[in-house]
Amino acid sequence: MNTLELMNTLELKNVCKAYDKFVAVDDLSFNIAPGTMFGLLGPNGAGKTSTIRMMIGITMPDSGEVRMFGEPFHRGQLNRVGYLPEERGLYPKMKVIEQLTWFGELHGLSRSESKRRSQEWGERLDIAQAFQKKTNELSKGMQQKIQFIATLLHEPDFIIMDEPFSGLDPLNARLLEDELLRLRKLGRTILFSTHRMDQVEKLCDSICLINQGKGVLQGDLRQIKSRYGRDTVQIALEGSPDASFIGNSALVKSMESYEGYIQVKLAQGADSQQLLRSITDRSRVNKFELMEPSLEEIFIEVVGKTIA
Amino acid sequence: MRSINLRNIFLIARREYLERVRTKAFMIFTLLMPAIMFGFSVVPSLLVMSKSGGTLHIAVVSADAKLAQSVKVEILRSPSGAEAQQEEKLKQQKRRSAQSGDVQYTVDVNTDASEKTRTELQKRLDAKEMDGFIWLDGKAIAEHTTTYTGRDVSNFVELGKLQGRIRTGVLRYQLAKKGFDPNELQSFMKPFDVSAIKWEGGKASQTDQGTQLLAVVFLVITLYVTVLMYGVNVMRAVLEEKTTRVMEVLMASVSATDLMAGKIMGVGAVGLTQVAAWFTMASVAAAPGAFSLAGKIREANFSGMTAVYFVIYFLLGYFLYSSMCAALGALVTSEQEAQQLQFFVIMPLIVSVMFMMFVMMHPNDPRVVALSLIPFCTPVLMFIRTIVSPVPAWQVALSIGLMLGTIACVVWVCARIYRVGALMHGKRPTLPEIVKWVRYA
Repeated sequence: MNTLELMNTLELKNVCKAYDKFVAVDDLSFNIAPGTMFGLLGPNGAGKTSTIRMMIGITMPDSGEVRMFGEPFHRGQLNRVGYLPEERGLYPKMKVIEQLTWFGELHGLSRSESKRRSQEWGERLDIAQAFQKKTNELSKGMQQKIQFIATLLHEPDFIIMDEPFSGLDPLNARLLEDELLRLRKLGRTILFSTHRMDQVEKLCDSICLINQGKGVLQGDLRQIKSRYGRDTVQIALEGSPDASFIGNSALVKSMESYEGYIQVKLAQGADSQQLLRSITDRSRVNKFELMEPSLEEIFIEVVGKTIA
Repeated sequence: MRSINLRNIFLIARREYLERVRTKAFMIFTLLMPAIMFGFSVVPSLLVMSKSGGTLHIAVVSADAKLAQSVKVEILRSPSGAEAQQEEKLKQQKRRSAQSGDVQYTVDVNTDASEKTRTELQKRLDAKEMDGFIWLDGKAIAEHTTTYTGRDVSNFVELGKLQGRIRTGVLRYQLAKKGFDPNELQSFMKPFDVSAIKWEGGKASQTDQGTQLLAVVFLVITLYVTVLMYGVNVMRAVLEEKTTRVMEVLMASVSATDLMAGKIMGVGAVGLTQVAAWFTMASVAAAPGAFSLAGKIREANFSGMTAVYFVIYFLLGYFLYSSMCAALGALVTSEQEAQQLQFFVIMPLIVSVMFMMFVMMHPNDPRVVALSLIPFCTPVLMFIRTIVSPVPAWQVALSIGLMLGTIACVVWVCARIYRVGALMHGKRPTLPEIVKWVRYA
């Protein structure tokens, strides 16, 4: 039991997949530790969906290995996986409750158990009132919630969500977010695939950024951020003096002015404290803050580099 | 590596079945189809009955009064051959023929076969005082060519009858002239009935050819329509899952082969339910005395084996065509595209129906035997053969064996196309691409 806990929920080893001449996934490897939230990031067409499909046996990798729960992937493991695809898929003319029950059954639940859990989820997500309707009578956001429930009914140990919050208003997005956080606390492993960097920043423990099928950046999110270093500084000066002298400093690589503050990027190897001293010599400083690079900046930097 | 998950197949099939059987369309079609069939069989005969039960006023023109009289008697004779000389009998017969929809005649005899008479009769035709006249002068009798001049000469069935009656009338007259006893002649000239007795497996069964033909056509069309309709339904179901993107959700818990199998079985069960409902309705409608096509089927004396063969060939045909349709549904991305390609898939089925009449008339012709063993034609053609003539057991067994083999191959290929195609969106694959899918999937 304990050894199982220590095993990675998912391991991809040198996985490749090509469609015709187009290489969708190129020698990709990463591990997802149990009980963590993992972000799979990348620009459109980077190979995120192809990667996910290979994880759960919808397609087979041309080469490489997929290991799940410590053993080579086999279809028998699918009852422990919940997959929410990017494109929503529900039968439009089926009654919501029947649809949910059926999806639960497909994942190995008994009919009555599946129905009971659907009802429970419906109440928790405040959508049980729509259960007797046909799916195509629901709004997009409501359908999204139904799909979310369908993915989680069988209490999967490994949850894969491709753009789970798209089409949801902030309130409902928050509701689902909280559910995912609750599930992580219960020890479930969650994989996110998304473009929304703010969500990844907020939720994920570790990430893998892929571009053109290759893994270009991966690891613990905090480590990555510190690796990318604190080279951005926000400065607010008292009054509104001419701040161009900062931009001219040898310590500064670039500078941008905003309403009330300026943001500078330090030159390589420059010491931020030295910059602070040089500024205080000339002006009073109200704010001098070393900024962590946002994931978005890292994303743009890394992806921009590989494209160039 | 890919094992079959029976529970999943069952779940998929159950959903497919329940969702379809519960629809209004299913209910309406199940009830409406027999109504349409009933309409097709009953309404035309009702129309015929109400339409042609009229009376035609014609004249027989001949210089020989006895000849003219003999022809007149023949024309007035009922089809059953009863003498119509007595007034009372004539009335009864008129009533009977009015019921059966036969044309009745009023016949004048004119012994003045001159041009003047002809002109006068033509004038009466124009004045609508009569409907036609038969010209039997000496020349006509010598050359066995006569003319019927009438306002309406389009009813070829009636003209054919008239032709036979004139011939019989002339023959009877000439034989009487040669001294034959009219009573003896009566028995000589009585027509012969031929009734067909079908001999099969040491048992005789009497059938009416026309009835049997109708019943076979009815059964074959039912087989053809259901195989076609439910095959196309499978294609639609696959296409629907593709366009609603349910496919990807399903594929995360069900293998493509299980999904396809469940789908085909679920839709097939709907087809069987519908056919069963139709046959139940038909057997109720076929209660003695009921005038309907269903009654005709009962009359045609089909053996119990016909029902068994129907189910066997329906299932085999359905599995063969529906797996091809499933692959087709996975290949295309829209209903329009599907309709264009559908034709090629179901062509063998259409061709078999085109051969139906030939097969019914020559069920044991070597070419027909060969054709009926081609798996794509077997469901229709072998089924027809089993109804109309005893088919050697080895041929039935071979046809079923060949079909099972073909189905296995087709399912194998189609499951692969399905597996890849089901998740493809956008462009339709080219033929070389499909071949690649089958090889590498």
